[in-house]
Amino acid sequence: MTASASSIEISGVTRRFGAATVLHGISLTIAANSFHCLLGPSGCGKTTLMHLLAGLDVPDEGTIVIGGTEHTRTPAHRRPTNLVFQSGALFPHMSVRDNVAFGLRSDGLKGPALRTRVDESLELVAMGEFAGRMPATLSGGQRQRIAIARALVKRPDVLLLDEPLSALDLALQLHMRRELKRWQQETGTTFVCVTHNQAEAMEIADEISVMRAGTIEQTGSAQELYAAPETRFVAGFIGENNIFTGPGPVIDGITFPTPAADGQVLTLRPEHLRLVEAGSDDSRGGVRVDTVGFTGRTIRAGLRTGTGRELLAELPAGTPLTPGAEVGLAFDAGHVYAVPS
Amino acid sequence: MRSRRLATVLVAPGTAYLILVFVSIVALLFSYSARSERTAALVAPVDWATWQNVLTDAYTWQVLTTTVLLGLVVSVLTVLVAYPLAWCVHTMRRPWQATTMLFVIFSPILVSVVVRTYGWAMLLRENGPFGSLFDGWLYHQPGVIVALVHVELPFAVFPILAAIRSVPPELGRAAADLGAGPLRRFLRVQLPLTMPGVLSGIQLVFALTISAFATPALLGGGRVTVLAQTIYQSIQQLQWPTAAAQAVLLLILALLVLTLFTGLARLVSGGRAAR
Repeated sequence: MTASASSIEISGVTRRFGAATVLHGISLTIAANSFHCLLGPSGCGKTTLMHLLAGLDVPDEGTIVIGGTEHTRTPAHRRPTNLVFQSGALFPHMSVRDNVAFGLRSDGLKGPALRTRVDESLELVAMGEFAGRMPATLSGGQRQRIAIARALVKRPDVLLLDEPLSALDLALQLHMRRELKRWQQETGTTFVCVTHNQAEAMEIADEISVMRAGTIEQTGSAQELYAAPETRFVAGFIGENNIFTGPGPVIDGITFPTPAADGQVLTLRPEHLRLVEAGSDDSRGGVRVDTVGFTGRTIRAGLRTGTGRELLAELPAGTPLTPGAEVGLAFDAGHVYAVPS
Repeated sequence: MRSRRLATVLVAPGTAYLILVFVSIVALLFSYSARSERTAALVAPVDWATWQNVLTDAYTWQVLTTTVLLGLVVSVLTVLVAYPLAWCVHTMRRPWQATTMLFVIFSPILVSVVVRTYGWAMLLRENGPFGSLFDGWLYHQPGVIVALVHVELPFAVFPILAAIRSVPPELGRAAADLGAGPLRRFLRVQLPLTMPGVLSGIQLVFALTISAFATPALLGGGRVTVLAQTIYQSIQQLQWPTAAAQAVLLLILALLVLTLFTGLARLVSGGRAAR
């Protein structure tokens, strides 16, 4: 861990493009030496926020403080941040070594010192033997490793990653998630990663900010967001959820222990649903089994209420189920969360 | 397979036409240059005296040097002017601005060469609209150069613009993010990646300049003589074989320089030569 890792303080940042406001007064503090994910669907403003952090864009209002120094209007080449682009953005006319050395050469470093730093960085991402290759001869995953090495070699206070894994195939993504986490821990750098993939964010981030339509809906650890979502959007976006809209206590034929207050919806995670004999004491309402899918550890069952609502249940493997069966739905009152709609 | 055959059928007439015309003209030129006097019969005895005369003539070499120098100066100057223009068009936000700009750049081609050349003569003349600014330019090298740069600008702007547009914008952003200031970004990233466009611009302009006739003839005032003019003069004097030899010389010159630039382009594009 190095002492240079610093926190980011974003206060009241607003960005407009013409008549459209892309960010509405965002405020966010990111702890030093942490892995932070900006998570949201496309168009939520997460990439714009990242460009503001990188210095590729300037906010219309608000301030950005990085490592205790205000950098709201500092251009990209004078910031203690480095950005890894979604495409990698490797320079196609330079070898891997020259790509990684580019940033250090910009700072005036040369000779053996430059060589050592470049080699170290390439070793970190296990790409040492590719130093002489041209980017066009590398695979997508290798290119992305070089892009990360090229940014990390500058030892930035903050490493910004813009959808770094989205261009890779799923198996490689799963592997690279663990790698990213490892590099963050080994270098002690603050990582800020933009992604639309909630599974990715939950796996790699210490803290996640869920963004939607230019605002941050909620910030917290993956566990906090999952267990106690504060908004309907977070409840639906972080993990899978069944969301019930209506005054209650009976919604879609299911009887809830407590009715939803005004302006609230009730949520129930799929793994908290149980299926019981229709009409038994535990049953809170009748449903029909629509589909049954086996995933390995669990069975994912698509259910349909009497009103036609579709629900998802995640049941222990081995639960006997036949599509078309009429069963009763059960759950513990403690697993029902009311969130603002 | 079918679409391939169709493509062959569609391309065949044009290709055949070009090959026929080019090959027959070059063959005729060679044939004429290997005679000692004008003849319609190609069976006249072969005679290399014309070539001997042309190649040992000091005047021919002087004209050849002028032609090549003019080609180099004009092509380099044109590219130097064209690059910022292309960059400017590329960065224009509104489509109508770019369209207007491109029209202005393209406009010299829309005007007849004679009209345009006399227009330049009026601009450059002593006590013209610019006063004494261009004194001594008209009927001398600078006048010819400035007029040629004007008309050949679009031939450099378009390939350079295409090259600039093909560079992904995030490469410039990545360079900035890695600490490179504007000059380093341009020299290390933008320029090398757009070099193929610059070189094809130079190639086009060079080829057009060394074969230019009207502009040097009208604005050179007899002081700037290029190869195309001596060919014309030879034909006027009914020295067809000499004209043919000079024309072959011009062709060889053009091919030589184009080959040189193609090699250079392959060199600067480095590992990406494959495309």
